[in-house]
Amino acid sequence: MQIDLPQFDDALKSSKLYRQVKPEEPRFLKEYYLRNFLPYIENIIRENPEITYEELNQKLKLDITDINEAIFEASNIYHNYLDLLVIKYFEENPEKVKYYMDLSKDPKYDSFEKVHKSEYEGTFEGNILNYLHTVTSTYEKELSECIDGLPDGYYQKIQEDLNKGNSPKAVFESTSKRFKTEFSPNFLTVKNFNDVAKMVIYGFSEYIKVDSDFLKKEIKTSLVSSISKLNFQLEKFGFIEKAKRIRQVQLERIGLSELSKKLDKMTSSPNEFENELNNLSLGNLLAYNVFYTNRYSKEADILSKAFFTAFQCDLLHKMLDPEVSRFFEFKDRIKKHTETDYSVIYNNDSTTEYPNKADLSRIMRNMFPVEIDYNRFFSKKVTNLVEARRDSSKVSIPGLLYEIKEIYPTREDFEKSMSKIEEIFPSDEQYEMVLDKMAFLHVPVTQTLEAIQTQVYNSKDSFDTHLSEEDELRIFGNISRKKGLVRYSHEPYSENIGRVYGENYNETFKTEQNPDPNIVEDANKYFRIFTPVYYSYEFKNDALIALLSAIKDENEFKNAGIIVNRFNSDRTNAKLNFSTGIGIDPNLTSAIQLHYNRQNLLDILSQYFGDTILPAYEGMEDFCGVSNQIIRPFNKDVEKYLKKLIKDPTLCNTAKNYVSRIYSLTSGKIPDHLCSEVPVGNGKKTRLVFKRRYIDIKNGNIYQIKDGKYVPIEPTNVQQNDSEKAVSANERDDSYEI
Amino acid sequence: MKFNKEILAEKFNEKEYNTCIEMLTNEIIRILSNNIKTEKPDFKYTNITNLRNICADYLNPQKQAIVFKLHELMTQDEYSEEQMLAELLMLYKKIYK
Repeated sequence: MQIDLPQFDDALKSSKLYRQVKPEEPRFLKEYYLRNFLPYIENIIRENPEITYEELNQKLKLDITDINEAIFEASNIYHNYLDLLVIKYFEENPEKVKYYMDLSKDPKYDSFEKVHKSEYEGTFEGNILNYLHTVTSTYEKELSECIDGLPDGYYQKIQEDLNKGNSPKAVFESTSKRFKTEFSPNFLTVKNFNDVAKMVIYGFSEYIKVDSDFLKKEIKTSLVSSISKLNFQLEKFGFIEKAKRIRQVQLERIGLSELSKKLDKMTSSPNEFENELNNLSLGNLLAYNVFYTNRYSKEADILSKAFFTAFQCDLLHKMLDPEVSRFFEFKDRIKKHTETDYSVIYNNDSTTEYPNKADLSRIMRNMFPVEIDYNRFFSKKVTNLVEARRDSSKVSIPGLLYEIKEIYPTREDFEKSMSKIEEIFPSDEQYEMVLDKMAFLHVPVTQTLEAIQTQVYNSKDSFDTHLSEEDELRIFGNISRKKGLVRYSHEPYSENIGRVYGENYNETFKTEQNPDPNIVEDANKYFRIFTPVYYSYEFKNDALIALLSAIKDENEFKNAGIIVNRFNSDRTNAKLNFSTGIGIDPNLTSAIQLHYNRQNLLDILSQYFGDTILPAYEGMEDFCGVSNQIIRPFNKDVEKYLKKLIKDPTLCNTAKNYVSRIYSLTSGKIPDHLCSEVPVGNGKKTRLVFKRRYIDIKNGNIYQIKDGKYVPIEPTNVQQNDSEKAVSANERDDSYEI
Repeated sequence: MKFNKEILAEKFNEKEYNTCIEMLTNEIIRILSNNIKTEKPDFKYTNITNLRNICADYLNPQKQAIVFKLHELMTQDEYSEEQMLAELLMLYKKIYK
């Protein structure tokens, strides 16, 4: 398979542009690396103090495999969902069954390969034909077995009654009654007979009903498993904790600290979480899974950067240095000391005495490397310490002094150890180099993964593989016939990248510490750690059809659709960006907000739904300022608390709107402040109605529904309010706040 | 909006980058679809993922690379407006050659 990689200069240009538009990335990477990734490695070593370099390396390799496996749980879901859409089409258009059955038997289209080469490839009709190719022989076999399974004479009688023009319902009822009368069987036998009779009488429409139930169960099981696995990985690498921390700060800001505590307590064991998921509807599970897939694409990205930093900075060797273990022991010993103990050392300005204030600062930095603003950190400590000094009874025996000298008896010892610890923390230049390399490698690796996907889709070529079949299946899954079985190793592709870019890469990325960067090794590592990010986007995209189907079903979500922040002056037209927001109010603790490319949305809507109109999502501003990076199914405790909280008169307006929105998610009822008053009858009475608006994604025109038709909305001359003008904070759902 | 280089330049100067992105995306898809039609006359563009999936059957590796990049731009939402526009302009230059 020939892959055309861009020229080195073009790839470098793209990578530099990417770095330019992401100026916050080094800060985010440093924060995550120091706060979460290093403690993760530390815990592994603490749990197994005798661990060798090879064992630690192997552990991280398995971690990366698990990160990959988790995203591949979703690989079949959306193809199964396409089959559900085909079934829905047949249920709504039963007269089309014969047409497509006959078409599927036409020699031009009578196999998957022929459909693939035909004008139906990539169309919904193509999906219909492929579904029929999948199920027809099974259906015909089952029908034949059911006919054979009927008692003598039953089949002929059924055919006679149907040919007389009796409805299938009437024929089924009379046949079932006859069976009960003639055989006086027990319930189980009657149920079995009824299933068989339904298949014979209703034929294909019964088959697809049964298949639909089966597919829904399969999809639901896969969704639960996918969400569960993704959640496990996010929790394992500290992303759930990070999201909780951000939410805590934001809720405290609007006076909802108690709610924050209740939401934080919602952690459940993996089994409990799966039970909670099993209680959600299919639509809610779909939306929840897409939320997790989207989150995974962002967090797996930062995680991949942390792993790459670890590889580039030789972290594992450094973490296994004996001085590091000594520092762990030291940390355990001093963590029991209060801040008052620090006052004894903190006020020691001597430059020769050991330990002094400078030594304490160094210990603090190495214990809490993520506290970037040390002035702020120390000023807080100083205030507490000054207060402690005023009351000398609070200053205890200098236990901290004792501990430091126990572990590091001399200044030489202390200096040697602290230097080793400090080697673990990458310099700002090292972070920049990591990000530069990754931005560059992103270009050829993504190109290669895209090329591989075309081969996977076409099930062409056998790939050189260095993985066992079992490992490949485990990592990449036995993706359905439509995508083919993935069997490939990254190594030939990394070597290809090495051949194309080797010398230039060497020249561009060599440093004093790393004078001979190995592009093949770097590309191999990048493939493994970037694959889950790539497939997160792939499956998020695959999910779009299912998501749009759920959004268009007003029985599933009362408020879901396009997030619009900008309008023209009379609010008859919405201004949509190339990256369009979709909002959903699920039966979960926050709204779900996602972004999709507008052209992609348009294409999918046209192809599968015949129009380009989606409902508008209302009220995104209620969630303004509170991150929705962590979402859970409700529990009774939180529901009860919210019911009480919405009546709290001390809440500020922002908090009131936020709480009433979250509370409305427990029941699916639209909150009053999103409804309009409409008169009832001829009297003075009014009632609150949620008036839905509908947006044509093609041109932004806004509609409402009257008498079952889309009608342009009436102009309104209203000043745009601040929440609609200020769009940048709400448009992205991937902002990192610290 | 039908593609027109003068209008593209005008919109670019007016900083209507969103419109430029839309114009360039549609034009690149149009050119690629026409390229495929020379091999497969009954080809009809449906969506970018389908275009990506089948392009290996009908386009040379250089054109496939353009499809792959376009697919990446349209399905990975990490791209800012400036980056999206810059990347599309680079793709358009390549495909127009």
